[in-house]
Amino acid sequence: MTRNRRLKAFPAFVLLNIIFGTAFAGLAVSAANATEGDGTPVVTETPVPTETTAPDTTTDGSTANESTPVTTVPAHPRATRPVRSVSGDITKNDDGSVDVAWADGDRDNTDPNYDLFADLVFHVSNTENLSYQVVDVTWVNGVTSPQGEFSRNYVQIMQCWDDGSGTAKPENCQWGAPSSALSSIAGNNAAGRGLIENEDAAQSYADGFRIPPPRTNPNLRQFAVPFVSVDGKRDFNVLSFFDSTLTNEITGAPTANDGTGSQPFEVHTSLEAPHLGCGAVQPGGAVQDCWLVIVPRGEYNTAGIRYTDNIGSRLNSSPLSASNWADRIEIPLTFKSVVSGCAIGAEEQGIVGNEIVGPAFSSWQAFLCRDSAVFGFSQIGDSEARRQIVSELDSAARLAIVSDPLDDTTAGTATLEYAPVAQSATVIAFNINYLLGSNSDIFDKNGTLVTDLTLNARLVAKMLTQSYRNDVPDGDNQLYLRSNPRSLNHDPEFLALNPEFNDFVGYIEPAGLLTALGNSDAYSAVWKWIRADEDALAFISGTEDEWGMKVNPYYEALGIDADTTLDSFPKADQSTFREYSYIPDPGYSSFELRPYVLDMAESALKVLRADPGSKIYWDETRNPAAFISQGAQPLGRRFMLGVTDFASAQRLGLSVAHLVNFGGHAVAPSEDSIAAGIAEFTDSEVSGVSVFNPKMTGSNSYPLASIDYAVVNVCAASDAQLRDYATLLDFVAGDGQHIGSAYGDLPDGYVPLSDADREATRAISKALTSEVKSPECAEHVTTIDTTTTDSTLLPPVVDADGPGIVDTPLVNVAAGETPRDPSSAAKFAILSALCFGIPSIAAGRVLVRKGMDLPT
Amino acid sequence: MKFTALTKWSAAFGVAAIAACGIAAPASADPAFLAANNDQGNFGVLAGVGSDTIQDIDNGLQAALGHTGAATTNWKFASYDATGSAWISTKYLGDPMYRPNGSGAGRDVLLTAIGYQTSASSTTFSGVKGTWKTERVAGQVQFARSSSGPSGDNLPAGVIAYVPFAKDVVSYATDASTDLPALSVGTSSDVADGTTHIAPSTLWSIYTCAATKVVTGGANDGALVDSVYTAGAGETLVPIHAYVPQSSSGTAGYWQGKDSASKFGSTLPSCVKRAGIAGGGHEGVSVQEHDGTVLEGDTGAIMPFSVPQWVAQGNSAAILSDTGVTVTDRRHGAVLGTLNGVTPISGSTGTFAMNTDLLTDTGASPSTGNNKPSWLSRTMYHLVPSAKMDDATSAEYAMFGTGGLICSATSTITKFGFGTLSSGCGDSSARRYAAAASTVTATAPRTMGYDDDTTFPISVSVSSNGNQGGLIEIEDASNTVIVTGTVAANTTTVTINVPIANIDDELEVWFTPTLSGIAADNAAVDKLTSVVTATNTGAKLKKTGTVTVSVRQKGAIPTGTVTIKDGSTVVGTGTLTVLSGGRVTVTVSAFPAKGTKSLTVEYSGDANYAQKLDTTTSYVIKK
Repeated sequence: MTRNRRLKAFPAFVLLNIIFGTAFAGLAVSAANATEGDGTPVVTETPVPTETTAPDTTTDGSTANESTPVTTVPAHPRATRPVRSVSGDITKNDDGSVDVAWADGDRDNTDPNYDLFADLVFHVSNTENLSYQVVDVTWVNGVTSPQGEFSRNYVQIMQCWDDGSGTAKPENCQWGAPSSALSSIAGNNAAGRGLIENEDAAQSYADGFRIPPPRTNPNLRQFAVPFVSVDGKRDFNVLSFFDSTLTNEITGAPTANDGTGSQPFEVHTSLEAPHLGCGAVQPGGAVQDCWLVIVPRGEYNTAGIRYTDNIGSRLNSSPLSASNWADRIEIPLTFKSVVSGCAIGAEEQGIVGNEIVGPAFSSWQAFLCRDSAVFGFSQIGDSEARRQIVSELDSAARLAIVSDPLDDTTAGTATLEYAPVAQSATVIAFNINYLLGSNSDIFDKNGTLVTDLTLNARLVAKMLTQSYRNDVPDGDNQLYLRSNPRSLNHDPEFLALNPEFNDFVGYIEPAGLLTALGNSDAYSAVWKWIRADEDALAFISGTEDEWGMKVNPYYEALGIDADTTLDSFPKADQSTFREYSYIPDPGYSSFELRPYVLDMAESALKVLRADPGSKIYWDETRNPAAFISQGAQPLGRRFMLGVTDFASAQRLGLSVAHLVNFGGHAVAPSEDSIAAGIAEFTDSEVSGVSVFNPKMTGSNSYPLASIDYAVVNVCAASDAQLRDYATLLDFVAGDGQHIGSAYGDLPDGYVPLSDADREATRAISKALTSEVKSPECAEHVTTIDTTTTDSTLLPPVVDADGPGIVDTPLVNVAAGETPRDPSSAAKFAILSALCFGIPSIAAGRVLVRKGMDLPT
Repeated sequence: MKFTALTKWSAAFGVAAIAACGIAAPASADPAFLAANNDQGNFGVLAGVGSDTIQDIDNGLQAALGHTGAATTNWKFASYDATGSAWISTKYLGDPMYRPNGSGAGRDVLLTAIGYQTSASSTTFSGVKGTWKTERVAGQVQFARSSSGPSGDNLPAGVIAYVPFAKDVVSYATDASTDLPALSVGTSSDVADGTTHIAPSTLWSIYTCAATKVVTGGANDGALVDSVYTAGAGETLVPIHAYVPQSSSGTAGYWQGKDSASKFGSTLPSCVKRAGIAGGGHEGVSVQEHDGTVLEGDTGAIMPFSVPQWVAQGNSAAILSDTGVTVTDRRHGAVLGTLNGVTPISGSTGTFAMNTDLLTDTGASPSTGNNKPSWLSRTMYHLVPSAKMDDATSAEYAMFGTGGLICSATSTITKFGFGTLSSGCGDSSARRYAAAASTVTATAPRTMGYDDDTTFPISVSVSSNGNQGGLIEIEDASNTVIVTGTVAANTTTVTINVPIANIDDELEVWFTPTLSGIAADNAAVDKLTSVVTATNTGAKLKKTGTVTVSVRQKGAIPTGTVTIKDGSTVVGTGTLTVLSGGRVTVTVSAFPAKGTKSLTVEYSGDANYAQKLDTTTSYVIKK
């Protein structure tokens, strides 16, 4: 076998496994989502506390809750909340944001920290009618924080539930499970709930704060603020409620050189944090409110000692300790009810589709289930969804939401109708701090977040093909990359488009471009856009760019320049690296250095948290020793990019890149630019369906816009399915295109359909209804459905089975019980993981030697 | 040679077994072998392992604090080096164990010894992979040395306390005839100027590769420059060789390349190396911690170096004569440069001391943000089980606690180059590691019916990491302790005799493990259930027949009543007394109609046994 064939065989194997793995992942996701309302923006059967036992809102399968529901949830009185909170007047702005000045509160001006806080003004972007989303907390007039550690002058932020007492209580706050990276740069107890006896004159050290001495250490005299959950459970150990991966606490947020600070804060509803219960419906019908608490930290301890005199020269003591707590700013948060009114266990109509429509479908489904049909959504990807609706399986869905139409082969003789349902876009979200050289003209921005980024097709291609040295294990020593820049921000092409990055320090680097597993039309569109660009196409075919950079030969060998069917993001570089001899062969591979994320929604979350999940640090002391993750990128040194959908990016408040379209214009995604892009879509072979156009030329056309169609296999659908589909499409064409955050609305990040498209969809809806009344499909005509009361004479039909043989009625197979059993999710997830795991293990072991065979 | 064989031998033959098993040890017997590397001929009340950075000062403390009595008695404080022979033995007649190398290994072995985890493994100094198990090391290690602070968040109920006792500063060292200028710490924004290509003279410039050469001669003599800079008239460019020690070194992880807590970043930039760079004269030589080999003769070389280590090595002759402690001088002529203008050491050979201005930033310039010497200071810790630090009567508390022996030994601490802690020495509030779980179960078989029984036995079974046993307490419903007992080390069961008066009580058993890293557990004492069987002896026609019922349980005689039912109709009863020995024949007064029938036999239970139903009896009734 020649070298090239060997190289080609492996990636094909990988792709095949990715396909299977995706299918299983899709099934796993669908099975999991059918039971869990886990808060990620993947469509689910929204869970509801209407079970026969307690009004337990913890149906999300979160392991933070035990299985025994609390039988009574104390109803907290909703005190009339004074407009003047104990921490100061809250000014409401027209756009829904609020401002609070620290000095307005009841403050002690003999506090040694007083002068440091006196001018602080905080601004929160949104505090009302919240669902799971990110709000921005910004401030001005702070004191610049030191770099790289939280020793003094920083801000801490947390979320607490409201017990109706009119103020936030430390016991009710989600705080005390920091990531070890952050707690290691904060002072003693500053990241937690621990108290040291008598360190704070204002703090009680009575038995309520004393950790009960265990039998094994009756002399124990340690203190902490216990956590009390909304349903009354009390524990000094918060890990039974939340841990560092689940919490939204901000251990420390720095103030930049100009005295301003900005920190996105992930707001948790009762789905993400059941122990806070925000947004859950209390007995009595009121929705649980919560608090946003901001605790500024200055330079002096609770005992007035300056931070430099502490061990480690850092401020110590918990923000929950009384003196620190008194410095807080508390802002009421009100929530949309998480209850959508859908009962678990209802029969549901299964729909399949791609990920882009996920957030929208989730919203529509939650509204429709109240009075209309109950829909379940399985996010299995475009190809699978297209295949399913024409499959022979009795239980198959007959409506799929996809971007591209079925080709003739797949469609066969099926009668398909296409109705436009959602317009959105694929985006590249980013989370980048300015990390500037001290001689930069814009040094004032140091530490703040970059807001504008421009990428062209060739730059995206360079990232997707592991052509930068730091995207490949031991990239600096790989000969085939020797003429390539180390990373994106060292690439002259990037610097030409983003000149501010010339001022960045040389050692900062992005953690690659996060991409997800799986296949979709959205990913196919990215490759189409790349291939349409002359420079990018030349690059992936093997031509050097004008600075001498060449594509990674592993990708050149894949033939992606000619493969028009490519609809995923392969990781083809088989290099491995082990730094020391005590690390077992072969070391780590591309899959550890630049791991996949599960889907686009996870990509957005990882960009927000600046945690690429790369596991390349070998920890000898673990048992067994293993590669572990080094954790999130430190604050102030973040450089993350990820491919995601616009709705997920908007929900998490992420900045998104300008992409250069075929006409050479750098366009950022917005309602207008997405609509302009879709307006340039070309007609497909199916009438009424327009498809992605990689060659947009408009000055405001966003190059990765997308439009999703609901394709219905009319004749294969049962009457019940047709009725439900008609209901869905009718709603989608109407109220379902209203942008908003209520159930049934189209979330931010989508673009409402044009009037013409809505009409088209309504027409399809009517056609489906009329198919039920006066069927034209052979499958529908000869059914002996005794519930039909229609007495219209049926026209004579030539029966394909021969005269006299009665067709059996179509079994109503679409409806199914809302599955409760998550084990199928686990099973599919395992299969999915195996499909991905096995090739990577195989790749690593078998193909190390093949790596040496590479053409140089 | 099997480890288990060693155990049997060493118990009988003590230390001779170590020599006999032929590991890397001199052929001569114990005292010489053990005296090497400060393993003392006698053992210590408190034995500790771990970090190499503080092994010298701990050896000094051991010598300064002395024995508990005469020179043949235990040392109060016995510290075992990280480097040296493959095996150590820390207690008289104790099992030898692998020698833990480094802060991490020391911590893990201590955690294993207190039962927080059942085993640990890591590579020793000699390159062998060592493993430690709880049952072997329990009681052998009382503390660990750590140059790195606790990670993660404080856990007030944690079983290990990080007790600080000294401070060090990791500064930089160069060859004595270095071309590098005096350096400051710098900031993460240090870059070379776009026009002049000169970078600030800082550690940040060097360790981010912003500066890769230093100028000698000419107008810019002593300037750090980037790779673009071209030499002017009279200037020579000397390449900078930036080193960090090999990766298992605590100082390397502290300085750069381990994780986000590393001072100069979590990844090593391309110009920073862990082994001698070509052209420096030591190509390929692995960089060892606090060892100046790779700097020797290379005027562009630089590496992180602990100031106290340098001081102790410089004072090594005086230390040897004063305390008998050997500190190997491996500076190879390396010198410490000024840091932010502060001279790191004072004195001369034999009387070197760290300049505490480094800790207080006195006279440092610049001294802003993190650009000051104290940013590179570290606290040195002893890891001690929390239960010991909370017990004011313990030897550990007297040794490590506030105002204790270690904190009072300030002159020793200074002689070895460390800074003392003005306040906070001996503070044990920084705690980590939640206790591991244990389990206990208990059952109560009782002998009944003998009037002279004064007690009844409860069988207790426990399980915990390492199974080193612990205290058993039997409590009644009001939590009063009635009886106590112990589970011996390396066993898991014990029988406790409880006064017969308590035989009817609802009893609770509590197990408090000996090892302080394991949590207590409790359980209710189970009453045994009985086994009931019934046999049919000749059910005949008509209406009557007999059924023999026996109620069996090991070691006790049940009493009570036996009821035979057909559905819910009672068809016969019998009584068990002590004398019946658990058997009774019941006459069934009215057998049901013919056919196969199932009868239920019920045993009422008594004070000892729970009620029991047995429905498996079936009868064929013939007519």
